[in-house]
Amino acid sequence: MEKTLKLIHKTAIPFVIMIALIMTGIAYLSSNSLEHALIFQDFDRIRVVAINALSLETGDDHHDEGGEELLEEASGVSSTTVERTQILEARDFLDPNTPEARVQFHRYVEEFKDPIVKEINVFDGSGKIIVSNVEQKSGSYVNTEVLKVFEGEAFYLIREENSSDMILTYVPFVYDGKVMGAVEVKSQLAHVLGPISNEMNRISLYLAVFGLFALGMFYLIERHFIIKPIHYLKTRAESIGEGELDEPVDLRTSDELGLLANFFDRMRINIKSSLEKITKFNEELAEKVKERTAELQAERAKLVASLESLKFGFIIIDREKNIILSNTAAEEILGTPKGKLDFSTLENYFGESYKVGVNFDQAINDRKALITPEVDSHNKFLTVLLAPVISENHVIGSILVIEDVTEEALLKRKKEEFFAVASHELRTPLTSIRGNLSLIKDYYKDKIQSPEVLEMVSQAHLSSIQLLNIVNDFLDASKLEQGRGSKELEKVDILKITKTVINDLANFAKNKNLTLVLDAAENLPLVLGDDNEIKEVVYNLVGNALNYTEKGEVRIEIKLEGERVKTVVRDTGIGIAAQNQKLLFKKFQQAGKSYLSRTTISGTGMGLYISKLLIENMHGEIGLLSSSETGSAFYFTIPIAK
Amino acid sequence: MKLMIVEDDSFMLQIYHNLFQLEGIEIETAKDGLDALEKLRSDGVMPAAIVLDIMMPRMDGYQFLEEQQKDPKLKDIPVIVLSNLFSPEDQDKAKKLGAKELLVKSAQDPKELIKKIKDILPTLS
Repeated sequence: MEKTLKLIHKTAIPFVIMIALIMTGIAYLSSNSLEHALIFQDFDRIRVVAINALSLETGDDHHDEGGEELLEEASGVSSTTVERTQILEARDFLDPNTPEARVQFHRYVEEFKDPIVKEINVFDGSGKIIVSNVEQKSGSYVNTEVLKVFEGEAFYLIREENSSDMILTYVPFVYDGKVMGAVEVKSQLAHVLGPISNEMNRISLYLAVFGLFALGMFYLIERHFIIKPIHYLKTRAESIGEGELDEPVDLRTSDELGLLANFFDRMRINIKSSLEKITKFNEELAEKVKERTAELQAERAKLVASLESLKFGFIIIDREKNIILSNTAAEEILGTPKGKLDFSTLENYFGESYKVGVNFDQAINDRKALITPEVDSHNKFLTVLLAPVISENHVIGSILVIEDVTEEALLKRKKEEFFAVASHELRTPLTSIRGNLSLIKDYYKDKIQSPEVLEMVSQAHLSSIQLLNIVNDFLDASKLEQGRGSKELEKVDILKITKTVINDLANFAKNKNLTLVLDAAENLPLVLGDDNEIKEVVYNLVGNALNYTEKGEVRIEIKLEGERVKTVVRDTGIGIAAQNQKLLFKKFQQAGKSYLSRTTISGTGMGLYISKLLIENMHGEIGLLSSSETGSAFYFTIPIAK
Repeated sequence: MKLMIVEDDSFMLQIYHNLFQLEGIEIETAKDGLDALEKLRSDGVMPAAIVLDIMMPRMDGYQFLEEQQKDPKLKDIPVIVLSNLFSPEDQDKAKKLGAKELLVKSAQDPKELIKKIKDILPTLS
């Protein structure tokens, strides 16, 4: 309220002052012009009387035309006064000291029988008063400044005498174009203005009253149309600011304030609806956050429960090497009290056996998981995995998984030992049997008389070789079934290996009257494999082809197929019956004949099975390409080295 | 011309004994690596070559090869490994330790064995 009024005062006070000044101005100007008009009217009347009373030549009326008009307009005095008998004759001035002249002068003075005229002086060209209605004034001189009347123009002046304003009118006497003298008529200004002063005061009073009324009206209008609405708007703005948005801004006027109020109300409605929307949105958001938090907590609980159920240690480490999460298994493996696990614990635990800090940095920088199998630490074998956690293309930390593989490692070692022992323990007596039978056959043949006994020795010798082959293949297969282990694959030249095999088997083919053909593509790339193992596979496939082919050829084709080198071995043999095809590459299976009904030493039924294991361990494929009565085709592929 | 056979299995040793005798090759036998080292060092016998088994008690073939290579008096004797271990790993290991050749016991008959040994050691025939 105060602020609004301040604003109103700021605008109203200068306005009121301005109004007052205008009113005063109007009053001043109107009274001034009225005074002026009255003075001039009085002056003109006196001038006319003075001229009329003076003896003038006939036809000299034109001198007074302006004066008559003014007289008529200003006071409505009848023009008949002009035609009165002339009182003063010009000749009187030729010798003013004559008694006639003096009488004439007196009569002239008498002519101004006006109560407001205080003093009349007639003076000659030198300014010497000749006649006056105040006797003692005769013979004295008028003020020299008024002598300008002799220039021929009547004039008046206002002068203060004895502390009251006097109006002095001077009119020249002109005879025959010559100024003979002049008359001075002195009257009190108050007397002249007397009749209108009351009127003037009334007008001023009216103006004052009208001004006050106008001010009052102004205030009332301002109060009703400006102050009240502004105050209302101000109050509403304050309440809207304080959040009271329900009550509408209701100012039904058609002016700018009404428009402003309208805008105000629209603003209030907008704020209200925005506020409602925000409130609703906030509530929804809070609800969603609550739901998500619950979901996240549930997820976390699930995660923690899952992690706790793991038998391997699971640790989440952030970039700054702080442990974010770890499970009980981790603490058990590391032998750390619950919740006491930090990065230095890991470093101390592993020591020299596993540089956890170096590996952590490497995994994070390379953005690649790092698996270290069989870390030998504290009488345990641990497989340690570091897998960087990448979120939105930023590495935010790493997962550390520690698996206690002590049992597996020991089992593996035991298996390896078993294979070594089995190889030795089975092969040694068999080798002894084979050796002895062979010695009998080769060196003591002549000591055996019975050819049947010799035949039995010979068969026993063959069986011992067969048994040795089976044992060897069985041990090989069992070992291969465990996977490659730590054996690395190398870049090898498959063509060179194949040529060696062909060279080895050339005699065998020749003896069977078979042609051995190599058909290799040019510029074959190196493959990623193992020299000896590929050789064994080629040996096996080509050997089989030669074994099962009685006439024709065995063709070896090597070519590049996509990212792999493909070797196809085709024969012109008897082919493989459909029901036997699916038995290929299985343990102890020979297509065409069962190993149980063997009549030769060729094959143990393990060749293709071992080949399959070898090729698969080199990430290749092996299989039967086609088989018919006119021959079979086997193939294998090995990925090329990059 | 003498050949030393290091073999722990008495049956195998008997076969080799018979075989080399039949082929007219003089042999000295040792029942394991340690026995072989002792015999080589005490008797002052310098065989033309050594036929060495791998899997033996007390000192196996690999250990023997290490010891032999460390001994300046023995390191020039050629060694043929005759074993039933024939995985590529075993072959690599034996070769690295200084073995001249590897033969698989069970892979051939005694007569073929003699032939191969003679191929490796031409001075033997």
